[in-house]
Amino acid sequence: MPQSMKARWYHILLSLAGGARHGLAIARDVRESSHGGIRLWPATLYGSLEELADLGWIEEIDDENRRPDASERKRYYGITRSGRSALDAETQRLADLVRLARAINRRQNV
Amino acid sequence: MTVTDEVTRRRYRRLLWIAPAWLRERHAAEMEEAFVHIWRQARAAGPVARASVWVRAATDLGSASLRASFTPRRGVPAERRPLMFGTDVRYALRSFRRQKLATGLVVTMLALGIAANIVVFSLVNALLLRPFPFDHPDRLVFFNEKAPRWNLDVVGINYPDFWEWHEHQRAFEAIALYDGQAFNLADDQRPERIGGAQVTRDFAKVLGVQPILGRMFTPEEDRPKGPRAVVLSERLWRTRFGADQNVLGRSLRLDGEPWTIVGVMPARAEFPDDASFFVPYAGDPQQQGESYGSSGIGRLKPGVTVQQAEADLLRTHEAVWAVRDKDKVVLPFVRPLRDVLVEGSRSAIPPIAGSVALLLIVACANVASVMLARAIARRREIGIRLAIGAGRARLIRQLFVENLIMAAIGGLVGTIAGRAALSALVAALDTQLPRWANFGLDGRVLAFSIGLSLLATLLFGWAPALHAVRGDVRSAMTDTVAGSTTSPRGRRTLTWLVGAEFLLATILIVGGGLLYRAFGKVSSIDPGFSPDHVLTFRLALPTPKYEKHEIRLAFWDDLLTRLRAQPGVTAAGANTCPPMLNCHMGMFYRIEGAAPKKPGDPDPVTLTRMATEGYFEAMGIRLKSGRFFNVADRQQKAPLVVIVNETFAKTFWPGVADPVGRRLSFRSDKPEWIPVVGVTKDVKHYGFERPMRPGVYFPISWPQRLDLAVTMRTTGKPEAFTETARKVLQQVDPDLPLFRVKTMDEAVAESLRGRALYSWMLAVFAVMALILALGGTYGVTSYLVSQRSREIGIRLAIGARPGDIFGAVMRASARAIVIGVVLGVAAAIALARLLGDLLFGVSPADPVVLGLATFTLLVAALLANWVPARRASKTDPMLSLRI
Repeated sequence: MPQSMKARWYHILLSLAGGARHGLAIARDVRESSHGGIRLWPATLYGSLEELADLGWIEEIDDENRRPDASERKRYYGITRSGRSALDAETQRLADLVRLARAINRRQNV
Repeated sequence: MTVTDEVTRRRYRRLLWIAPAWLRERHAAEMEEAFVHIWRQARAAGPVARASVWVRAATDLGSASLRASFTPRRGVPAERRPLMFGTDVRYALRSFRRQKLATGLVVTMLALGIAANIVVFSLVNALLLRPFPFDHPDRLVFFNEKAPRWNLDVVGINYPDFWEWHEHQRAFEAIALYDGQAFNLADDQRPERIGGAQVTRDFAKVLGVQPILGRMFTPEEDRPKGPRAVVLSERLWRTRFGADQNVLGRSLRLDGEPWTIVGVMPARAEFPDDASFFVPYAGDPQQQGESYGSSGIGRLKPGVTVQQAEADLLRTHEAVWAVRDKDKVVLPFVRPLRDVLVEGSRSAIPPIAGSVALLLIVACANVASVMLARAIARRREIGIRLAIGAGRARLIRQLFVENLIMAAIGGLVGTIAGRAALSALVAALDTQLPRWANFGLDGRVLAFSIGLSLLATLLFGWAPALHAVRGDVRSAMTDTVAGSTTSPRGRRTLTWLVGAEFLLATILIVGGGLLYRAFGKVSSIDPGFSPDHVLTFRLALPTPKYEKHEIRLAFWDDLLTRLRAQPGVTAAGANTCPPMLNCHMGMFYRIEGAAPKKPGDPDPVTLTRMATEGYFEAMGIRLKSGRFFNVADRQQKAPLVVIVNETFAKTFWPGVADPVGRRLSFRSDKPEWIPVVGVTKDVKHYGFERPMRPGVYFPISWPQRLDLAVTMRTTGKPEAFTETARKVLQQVDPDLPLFRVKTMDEAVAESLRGRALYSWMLAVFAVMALILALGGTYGVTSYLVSQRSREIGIRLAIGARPGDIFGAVMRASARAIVIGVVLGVAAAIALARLLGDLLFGVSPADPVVLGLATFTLLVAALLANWVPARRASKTDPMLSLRI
């Protein structure tokens, strides 16, 4: 069974799978998709984005209406091809797990 | 609104430095934005929520920074990584391997300091900080009665008083009385004396313990003439009954009577100490007369303070005052249970904790000087690294990591050594320590040792780290040609570190010396008897067999006569309560011809003992005037006589030269006057440091049942006579156990043990500090001399005499050491005042102690510097010039 992915990475990828977003929007998506279970605090949020970018799973997208002052602009991120396949692999792994757990449960209930 | 956001943003920006730089540089603005977002949600939720947001934010930033240091980002070279923890650790280990000796020295010194601290902290933790093994231990209190006018802090509780409180109190969930009670336990095995407690029915409820088998007493059993029921301790149940589950309902023969076993208490309820069984107190609320003697424990209702509880008991006690004690002599008091149980050790803890902390600082100063010497020796290396572009912060961090690792190793070794020392100490103290105290390792001790190691790192790390960054690259490079003189700044810091060590060592040595003097002073007090060659043991005559007074008198006559006939026994006698064995019986007397007492007059209680002829001779008590008891005094129909001590004579017959022939009486309506036949020198009954009380001795002729202690004076080792005594007792009554066998030397040593212990601990710390300080000055001087060998060589070559060199080296360290010792003496005098009673009247500025301490320190320092100074003066100029 492939190695599991950090939960926050999974949720970030999940958020970006729906389209490019900036950091704050990602944090909001993650909060929702984890039913409030994961709150990404600033350093964790941007640290994770950097890690995912290092892995090549997400990339920064040039923003059309960026302001001239580079440090003040919002960075938009999008998922890459390899990011999407990592997301799919993790989804598959989780689905397999769920199936396994249900099978065991059913056997016990008989 | 926007203003608040702006302020928040600014505050968060200030926190951002915690985060790794790469994150901060790229995302600062957005991170602030994200934080403000979270902040807005928390703002309305109250101050706790707001504070927690800040804490969480700081944690978030900190953990990001930690994560970054352990999982380097790809593509970043090792040297540029934000913390490079791994690299630093590798460097540190490499340098430790290169300098095994210095590293070993540092680790040993730290371990010593930390081990001593762990021992002391574990003791404090077990005695003062750890909760009792009972539920809600903070609500457990001790109560008793006191009588300031009788000169008694603790009178013991009178059962009718207790009953009054029990019925009307409102502050406690439950209260109970307990009192030590011992029985002769005779079965098919050898007769044995076992100690237990008589307790009132709510005893287990107060402690919050459930019997592991059966039940505690019912009110039916806890009343006079109730059924004989006994609850075993888990220990007795295991040893005597093999943990038999069907033990309930069986009977136990105590003093020849059958008692029905109704329950078993768990081991953790061993309270009071060493109770092997519990029997009902069976007090009588209508009891005539007063009989003070028990102690009480209570469980406060939640939220009730000790003061409120005391006020509550005083309120209920009004009824007692109204009926029986119209002068309001006796009154109840309440104290936290733990305070009472650790009373003896409490005053010694602050000085011990203080000195052990000083010891750690000395060790750290020592380590700092070793590390500083290393740092100076590495200046060239550091200079090169600075020259090729290493950041100063980076270098400090590397030194810091080295320190941290050494402190961690030192802490680990110290903790292990400290635990070993602690278990040796606990084993040695055994009976002196309360049974409930748990000396095991717990989170608090672990946190303490980790905190201590970190503190040590900070303490010894600053000097070397500062030196690493100060100064410029060029001088660092040129300074450090091998054998060349160290920079003056480095030398100065080293010298002053040594001075500081001497300052602290002086404080410890003076403190230890003062306590040693105090110990000598206490133990040289005349106890009023001669403890050498004296053996004591107790006997208890069980009731059915020894019901009759004549039989008891005959028994003592037989036993004492036979004992005196044994070879090697020069005197033998018996009394109710030998000195220094923690017993007390107080009574009040009327003095013939004394003015009647006004209410409110002090009325000191009189220590009352019964003794046979031969007891005084055996104990070595000295007669001041009159005579001791003789055989005639203890005959059944003999007229009652009394012997008083000097304090009694001075208190009640002030100005009378010889009170022999004066008379006293028990306090009753019809006084029967008893003549004084002798006056003895004062015997320190309660211990060397306790005040004297008036005391009297009566013969054993009065018809009360008495448990006596036999005292024998022997020509050889007294211990060796235990078997003699046992054999003689076998002949007189084979069913009687002989218990609490003790030589008086042991009893005296035990009464001094608390003082001996802390004096000894402080002396050990003082010696350790002295060794550390000497090692420090020796090491520093040797190091400086070896660094200056080139300079010294040149000086010798151009005409300096070896004597000049020797003097210069000695002088270099002398100033700091002398100043250190002088300041240390001043500080010690100031601090010694805090020792208070522990000094037992020894002046903090005791000239002998101060003189000896100063002399020892200075001479030792002189010797420690002698060797390197001599080596320096013998330097071969040619050798150093050739380099």
